[in-house]
Amino acid sequence: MSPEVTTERRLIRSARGGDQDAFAELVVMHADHVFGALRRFGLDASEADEVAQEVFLRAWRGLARFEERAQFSTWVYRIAFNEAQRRLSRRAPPRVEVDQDRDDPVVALPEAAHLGPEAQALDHEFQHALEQALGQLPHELRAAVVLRDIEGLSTEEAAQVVGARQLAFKSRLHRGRMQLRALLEPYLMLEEG
Amino acid sequence: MSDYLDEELPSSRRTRMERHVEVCPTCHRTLAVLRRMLGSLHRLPPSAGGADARQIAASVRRRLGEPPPP
Repeated sequence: MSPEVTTERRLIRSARGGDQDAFAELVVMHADHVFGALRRFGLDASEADEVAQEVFLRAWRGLARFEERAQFSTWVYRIAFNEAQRRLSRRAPPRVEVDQDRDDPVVALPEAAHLGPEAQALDHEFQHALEQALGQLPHELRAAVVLRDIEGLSTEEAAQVVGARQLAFKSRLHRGRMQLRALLEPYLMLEEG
Repeated sequence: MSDYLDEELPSSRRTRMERHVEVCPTCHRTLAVLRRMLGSLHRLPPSAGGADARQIAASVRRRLGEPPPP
């Protein structure tokens, strides 16, 4: 077991015993990820900040119900997902607009993990397009891509977060990825052959 | 195709998929595009307008004694 996991378990047990400082430490450990996921689920920065606080307050109140078989991060992502969906459901769904005839410049996307300065600039430009495209996906599909492909949860964990069976989650994830691919196709020029 | 990329296909189906992709230009291209897209998603930096984790923790810490909403 890694030192981080050991520390986290110790903090969870202390927090369950009413130690508020221990809980604040858990918040520090997870706030970046919760905030980042909330932003990419579709909330703006000030809303994500407000909701992140609510998420941790709910976690504090529900700590007695947290089962340590699950990861603490998966549990707080689930609370965050539910709260984000509650807010997003009041809004009109985003429109997916795939324009096959657009004249955007085609960007060759670098593949290597270690990128030079030019490749880094291209990657930065593509990342911007990626964020824009992500924002056009329906909430449910976007959440699947955010949890699995950006936050790096396993299929099992991500399915738990959204409260879906793994098969249903995989179907959402695939649809999300394919819609994203269609939106990004003009940016993805590949060397053939 | 997603299961293949996530390495969640049983080996027999994985082999079938690999054989198909070798001879189908459409699937070959789709798979290559998806691979690059997933690589970029993994490399995305923390969300813009990032959180200050310590500030969120301090705000939460102050509010821990609040009664739950009705």
